[in-house]
Amino acid sequence: MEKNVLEAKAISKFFHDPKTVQVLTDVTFDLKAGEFTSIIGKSGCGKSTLLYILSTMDTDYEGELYIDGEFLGDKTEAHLAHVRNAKIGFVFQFHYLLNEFNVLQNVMMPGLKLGELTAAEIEHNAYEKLKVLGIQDEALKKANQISGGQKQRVAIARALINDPSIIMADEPTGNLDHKNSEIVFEIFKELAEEYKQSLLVVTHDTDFANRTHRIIELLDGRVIRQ
Amino acid sequence: MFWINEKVDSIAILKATGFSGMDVSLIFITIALVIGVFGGALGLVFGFGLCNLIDMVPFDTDALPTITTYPINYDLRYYVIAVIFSIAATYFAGYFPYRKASKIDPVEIIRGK
Repeated sequence: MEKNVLEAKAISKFFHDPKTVQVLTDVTFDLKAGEFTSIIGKSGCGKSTLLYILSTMDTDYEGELYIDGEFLGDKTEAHLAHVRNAKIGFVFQFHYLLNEFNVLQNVMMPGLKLGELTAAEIEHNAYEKLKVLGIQDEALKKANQISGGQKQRVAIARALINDPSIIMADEPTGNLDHKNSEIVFEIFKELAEEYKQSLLVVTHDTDFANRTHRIIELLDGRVIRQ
Repeated sequence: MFWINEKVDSIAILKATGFSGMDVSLIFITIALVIGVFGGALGLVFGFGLCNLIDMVPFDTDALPTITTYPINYDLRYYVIAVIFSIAATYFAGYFPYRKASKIDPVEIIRGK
């Protein structure tokens, strides 16, 4: 049996401003290593909120979260930062690269923070990731000198640099045209199938979701299909 | 340090990719201290040059017959105080911005666009 990379047990979340509203109710599921999963649901159903809880960035929730079998509910902010660094790769809707640095430096950044390899080894790995994504020629350009589709591929390379247990993506194609969305989908599929990379993608693009291995559907903060 | 406001996106990214609030604070404190040290050093050089010029200005008075140019005190203590002051000023000017930077919630930034 494949091991679970992520387990969510009865996760609930409330917003208190201006009045208390429950946005997530008893969300329970687990993800196996190598699964390519999408979370879908209407705008406002809580899917992004759920992703930010699962990514350890939002700690204000009820329920239990485990990543790689480690319970994360009682951990300090610094420890959660380390978990994100070592185990989670993040891809956002708006590419969010650091414009002060070039493409290669952006990809290397989480690796340098983790500090398990030398800078030369991290640079080598970063080139390898850029090659897999077909953008090694852009390595020395500044992050704001490349196109939107290329930026998203750089963000994926950055997410991969520490060989994370799981990649989480929030509407990764939401800001891309059809052609670049296709490229991103094909990259995710290749990562899942050839490299056994676990992926969890929040999307409102049902065409994208239908081609993933598994769909978790939310309605009004509850899982209605998985 | 208004420029922290321009860096919220970068701070959110650093936090999302594994930098803690403490790491982010350290980055900004380092930048501020570098500015303080270089600013202080530049100030010392300019100050010393200016003092040398003023030192050459003729200054004749019957009350002090031994003095012919403007009197300058080159005591090292004043230079040390100046450097400490410049570093302390940049550090404290940045104190609230560092706190703000370390407390930025990446979720709000990343979702909020």
